Amino acid sequence: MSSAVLECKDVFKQYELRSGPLEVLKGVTFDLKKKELLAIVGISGSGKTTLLNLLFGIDTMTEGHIKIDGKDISDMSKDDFRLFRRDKVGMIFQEFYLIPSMTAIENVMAPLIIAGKSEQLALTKAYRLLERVEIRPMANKYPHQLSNGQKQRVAIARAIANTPKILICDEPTRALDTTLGDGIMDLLEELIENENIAVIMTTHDPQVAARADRVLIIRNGKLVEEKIVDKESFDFRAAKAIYRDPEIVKKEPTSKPKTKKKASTKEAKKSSKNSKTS
Amino acid sequence: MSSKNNVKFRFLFSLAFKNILSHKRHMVIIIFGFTISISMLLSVNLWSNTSEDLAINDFLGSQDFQAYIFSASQPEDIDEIIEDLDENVLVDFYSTGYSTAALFNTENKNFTTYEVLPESSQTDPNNPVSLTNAFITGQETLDRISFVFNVEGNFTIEDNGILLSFRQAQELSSIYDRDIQIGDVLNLSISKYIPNPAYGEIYLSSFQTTYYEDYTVKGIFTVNEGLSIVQSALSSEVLSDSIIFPITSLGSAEATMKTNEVPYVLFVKFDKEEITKDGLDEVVNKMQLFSETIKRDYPTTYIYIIESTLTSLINAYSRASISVVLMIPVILVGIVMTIFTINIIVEYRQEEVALLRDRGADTFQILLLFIIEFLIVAFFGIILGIALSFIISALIPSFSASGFNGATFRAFMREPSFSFGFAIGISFTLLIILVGYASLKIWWEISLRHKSSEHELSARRKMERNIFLGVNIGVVTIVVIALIFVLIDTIRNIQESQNFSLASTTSAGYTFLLFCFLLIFVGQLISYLVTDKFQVSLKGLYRRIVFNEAFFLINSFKRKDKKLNSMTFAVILVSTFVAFSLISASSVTQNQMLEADYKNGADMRIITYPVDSSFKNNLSQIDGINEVVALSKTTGSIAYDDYTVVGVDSITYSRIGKWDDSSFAEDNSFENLKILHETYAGVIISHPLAERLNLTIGDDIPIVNLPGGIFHRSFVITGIFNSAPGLGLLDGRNIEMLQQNEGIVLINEEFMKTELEISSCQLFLASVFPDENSTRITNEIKGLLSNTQVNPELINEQFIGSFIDTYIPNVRVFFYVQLIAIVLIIIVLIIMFTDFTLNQRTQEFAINQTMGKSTRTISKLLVIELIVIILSASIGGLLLGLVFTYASFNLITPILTSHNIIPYTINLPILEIVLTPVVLTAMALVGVLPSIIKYGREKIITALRN
Repeated sequence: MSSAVLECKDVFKQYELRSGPLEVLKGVTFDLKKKELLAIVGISGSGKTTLLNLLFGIDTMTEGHIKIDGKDISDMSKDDFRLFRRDKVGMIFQEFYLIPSMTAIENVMAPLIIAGKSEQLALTKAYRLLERVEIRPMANKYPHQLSNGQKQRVAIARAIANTPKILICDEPTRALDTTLGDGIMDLLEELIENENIAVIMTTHDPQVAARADRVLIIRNGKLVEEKIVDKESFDFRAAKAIYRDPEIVKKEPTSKPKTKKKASTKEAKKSSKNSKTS
Repeated sequence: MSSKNNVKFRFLFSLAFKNILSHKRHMVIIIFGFTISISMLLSVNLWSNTSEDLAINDFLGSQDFQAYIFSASQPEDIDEIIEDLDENVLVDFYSTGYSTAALFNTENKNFTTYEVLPESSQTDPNNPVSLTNAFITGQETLDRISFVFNVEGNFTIEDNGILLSFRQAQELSSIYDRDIQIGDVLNLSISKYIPNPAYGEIYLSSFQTTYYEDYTVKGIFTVNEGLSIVQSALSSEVLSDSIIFPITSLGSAEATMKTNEVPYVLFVKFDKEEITKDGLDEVVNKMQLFSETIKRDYPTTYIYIIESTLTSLINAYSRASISVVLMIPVILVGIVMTIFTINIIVEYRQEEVALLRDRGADTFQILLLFIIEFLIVAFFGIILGIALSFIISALIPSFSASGFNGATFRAFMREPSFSFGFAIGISFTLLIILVGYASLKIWWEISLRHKSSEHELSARRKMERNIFLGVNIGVVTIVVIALIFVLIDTIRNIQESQNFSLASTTSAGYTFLLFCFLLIFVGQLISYLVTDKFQVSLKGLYRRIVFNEAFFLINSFKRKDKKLNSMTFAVILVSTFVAFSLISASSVTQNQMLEADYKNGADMRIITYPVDSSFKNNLSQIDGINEVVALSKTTGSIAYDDYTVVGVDSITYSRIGKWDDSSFAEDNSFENLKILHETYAGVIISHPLAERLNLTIGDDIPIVNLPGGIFHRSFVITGIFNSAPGLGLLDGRNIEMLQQNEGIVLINEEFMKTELEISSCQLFLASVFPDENSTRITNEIKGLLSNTQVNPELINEQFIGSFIDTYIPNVRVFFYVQLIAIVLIIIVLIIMFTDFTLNQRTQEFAINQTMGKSTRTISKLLVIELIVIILSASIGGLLLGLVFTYASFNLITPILTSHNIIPYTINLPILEIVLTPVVLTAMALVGVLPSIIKYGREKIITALRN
């Protein structure tokens, strides 16, 4: 059994509004293992993004504990957590949040410079990263000159620039079509495999959720279901149903050890087609 | 339909008010911009109008009289004129007087005619007759002219009283061999004064002198030279050696005097209310009309009115009003600030505009909403500006060398001469410019946003840049062409002129205006060079300061949007004007100090009662005094104009006087003073006089009407000077009036003493050894002789100069006011702009924080960015300011000073200039730090969603 790189225990998040307190997260508990792809699914307003923001430390929880790499982030000072964020965790946002005044290469260089690398070194590494995410030719383009898919790749390259242990992705395929989305997922899986990072992501898309190792279903701020995904016998319709109404279907974890293999886009499509026909 | 439109407008107005309240901060800044611009412009106009009114009213009120009428051949005309004056509403008061002669010590000397010779040549030289001038008038007249005299005793001729001049008292003391004092009783004869230059003697003929007994000396006086009609009629020289006798004592002798054509003078004072009721512009016209009427109806009379004095007073204030152009920098900066704020508002509300469009509003409706908002805001700005202008206009003249003058402030607040037309015109013009700009900007942004494709946006932006460039080039071309024309005119007007006229000042004003406009465009070019080239090129420096983080700094300077360095142009403009103001103020101060020294003439300027010139030996004995020169004055006529002729030991004068290179005309120097010393009948004359009469060194020049019985004498010109220290302009006589600054006639001291028999003087110049205690020396001088003035602050304050100076502040005041205003404006602008830009970049800062950058580093980089921008822009601006100052300085000299005696030179206040960028940067940082801290404290998640 892999050790957890991220542990979340009894996390509460409450907002104080004029109309009264609004509890967004109500005692969320889960963990993330090494080299795991964890998907959190839920409808809009269920608290997915809030949870990721807490994990990334850009928002503060009302109650609970979050441990990353064995360290409780609530015990950390602002500076310590900043360093932690710089070195251990990477985040890919829904809106990409690329710096508009910087080119793609400069956006990727930025975290490296912040981490103390020289400009030359940062440049070299940034080029390598862009090549990794298959977007090197667009290095000198500004974000407004890139497509959504290209922006997302740049965001990924930036997020992994400092080789974090955990990658947090908020709806990584939201603004992308299926093909592009599959490409991003392939990339993520490759990074998990080769860079030894763990990925936690939120998604609306059951097909994307199906590529995860585990799926956590969040509803009204609570984790209501956890599902180990059997990619080979994955039932798309069932998955969709789970996503929509987790109360209906409950499945036992399969006896087969989970296998991680680099599923190509074609194979994934094929398996989903097979599952449809069956 | 109409009610529907009413509802629409009501809705728009209420929406406009809501928007104004929602964007309070920006709207307040627009109000501030309007207020500053309007108040500066209006305050100078209000000040110049009000000060002119007050000065003219003061002048008219303080004058003894404003006209005199005199008839020698037909004195009965005067009586007829008096009857007319009784019915003339313009006349407030009039009085008469005779200018004749008085004789003392005539007892037992029967005569019908009397030949008055020097004492040594008289029949009985041990018991000579003393002849003096006599001014015969009434007590009421004396009360009006008392300011002309310094009196020991009482200034009254009632109860058989007479007043003696100091000189006459001394002569009588010598004749009677006893001190003549207040209370002494004397006998005298009133006679008639007839000069007969052909014989060099003075005869009295066909006139029965009238003997008067037992008149008491009520007072002994000396004469202050001043702006008095009585002095104009009788001359200071005559009054200085005269007695004043009561007209009521003449009795039957008055008829004799009239029939014997003794000069009978009628003094007239106009009614101030009546003469000013149709406006001050009509005052001179009314006086002229009065004069012409008298001349027409009484052709044998001579009338003099104080018209030219008044005209010059009006001209002086008109000249001073041109100083409004010195406020142009403030106004320009105010307009720039308002434009910046409009740009920010439009940028800020892009989403709102897009939302309105989405909801179906057309361009006109959106524009109308914004226009209504700007009009409301501008209205408040205008009202505040007008209100503030009253206070500023009263403050301008209230600050003098000795501090704040509350009476002046109150006078201005009580009776301001507000020009509605000007105020409305200026406000309207400013409104059109700014609201027009805002409308254009909004319309452009609306149509820009409408274009959705990047390519169309980019093409539109390119067109925007081309239009901007085209407009700039076009305007610069027009301004340069206009400048060339104005420059030619200005240079012609001010070259070689010593006193600057209204015409030269006006053309200097236009020159300065055009220079300022040109500066705006040059400033934009400099701004481009500073932002796009200089700031970006400092990579090496950034790397040294912040090492790796230089990456972000360089990116900030390279970016095309949301950049702090958009305010570079504003900082450059402000720094340029700050440099100009600092240099101008410093140069004005230096020039005024040099001129004060020059006016003083030497280290010590000593003014006494008339004493013998040998008094200089007494002064030389004082410990600390090096050398003393005596300056004796008389009058003479050259080419029908009267001049003050000054007799001086020119060698000593050359050593003692505060000479300047500009004192000497071309090919003249101290050598000419030496030649004067060696030439008995030599004179040094002023350059304008030499030019007028086409004279040069070595030519003969006749001077007539000199004292000592010399009617006509030819002198040889030994030098031609522009000015001389302690003389000319310097005794107040030539300030704008009475005599142009052409009045230098230096004469050999020996000639003065021997031929003109003038050895008394009232003016001494002295040089002092270095490091001597001037206070001690001054006290010792005052101890030698009573009523002695040493280095008097105001020289002859009764001259027109004092009326000119009263409400015209030192030109430095304009520069300091300007300096304070534009520094205030730029600090507000920097704070506002930085706050806006930070607001725009909060998301970017948050993204950086998600990558692990600390808020401290972000703040540090922001501070460095600001420092680089403000320092580089202010240094660029200072350099531009230096060029601007040097280029414009000599051309705007007529605005800075009224005359060119000591040539205006630039004095660089090095320390202040070097400190300016540092101070500006420090002030800006203090102002923006709260914003930086505020945005630094914002939560990452909130900032990301911004």
